[in-house]
Amino acid sequence: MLIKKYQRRVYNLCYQFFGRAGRAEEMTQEVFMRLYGSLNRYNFEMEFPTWLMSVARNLCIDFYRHHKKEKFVDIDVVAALPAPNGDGPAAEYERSEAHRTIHEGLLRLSDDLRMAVILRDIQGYSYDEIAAVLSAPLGTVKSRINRGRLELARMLMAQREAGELGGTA
Amino acid sequence: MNCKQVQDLLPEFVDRQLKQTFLAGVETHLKACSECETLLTIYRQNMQLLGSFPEVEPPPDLVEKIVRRTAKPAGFLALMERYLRLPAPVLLPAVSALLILLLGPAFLQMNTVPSRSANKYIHRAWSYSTRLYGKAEGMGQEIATFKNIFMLILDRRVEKVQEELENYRKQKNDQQSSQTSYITCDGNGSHQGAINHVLHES
Ligand SMILES: [Zn+2]
Repeated sequence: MLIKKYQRRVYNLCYQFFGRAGRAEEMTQEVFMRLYGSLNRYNFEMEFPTWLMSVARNLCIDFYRHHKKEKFVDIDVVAALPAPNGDGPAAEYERSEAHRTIHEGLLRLSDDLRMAVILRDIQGYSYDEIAAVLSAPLGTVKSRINRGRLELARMLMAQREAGELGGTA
Repeated sequence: MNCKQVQDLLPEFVDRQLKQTFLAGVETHLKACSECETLLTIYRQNMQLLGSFPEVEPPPDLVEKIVRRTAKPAGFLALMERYLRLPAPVLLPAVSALLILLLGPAFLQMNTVPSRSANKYIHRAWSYSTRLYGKAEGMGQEIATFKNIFMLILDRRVEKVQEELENYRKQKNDQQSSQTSYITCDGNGSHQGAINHVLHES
């Protein structure tokens, strides 16, 4: 079934983008509602998963822009699926701390940069696929990904320095 | 090169996409500047963390919730999906073309259905069917009528379809057997041929 096959992918994208489990659930439902309502606009030149992700991306960005005043920076911790190579509870904990920190950083990026970085670095789509999902030229996609990664690194470096000085991160 | 210039080039440096003219400058700066070097380390760590970002499990009842919300309008397509194991966007034009071809003649007497805004798939199916029907005389009107009904269904205006069907029955009673069956009226048999064509193609 279409929903069963793709719900996890859509849910994860929404969770990565919003950092909120409840919001991710709502958005995933919306994506599938929109999907079924717009099958008649399905673009045959696009692979189905790419089209699905573009619907999800549009809904997430629209929602985010309409609710900008809401703060999205504190994330809900959702139970992660076990890592492919399970390396013990201690490693698991460290991993989740580091991932939580970078997720918080992601949520402070602007919506366009965040979406580009999520699609490329977390979800692993190719530049061409992302260009199709975002309906943006390849150059724009590359520049968003690069700027997003750089901002993220600067953010975490500043945070680390503040932590070392005894300030609150 | 100053820190700002070097840092702006880091993404391309890490991706090994940096132009040769900048490469030596960036490398020299990185060796001498601990701040830029730290940024590069964090940048690389981030890439690794993002690449291993844990997948999370959606709530167990999410699928059921979605199915409940989408069930009404998509019931027919979901059914087709289950049996043919193809996503709805692929099925839609094929199924509608087949339906128009096979059921078109059953809607012979219906002719007044409000025209709806263009629906790419139905139109595609429509032109496909029209072509297949070939020279079958007078079929255009019936195919168009069926197309409109199908569009009403897709637009979830099912109550309108009911109305059309009642119209259809009324007209049928009024006209009784004054209409000729399209299955037999076609002298050169191209209509039956068209149906056979679709059945064998699919
Ligand atoms: Zn420097």
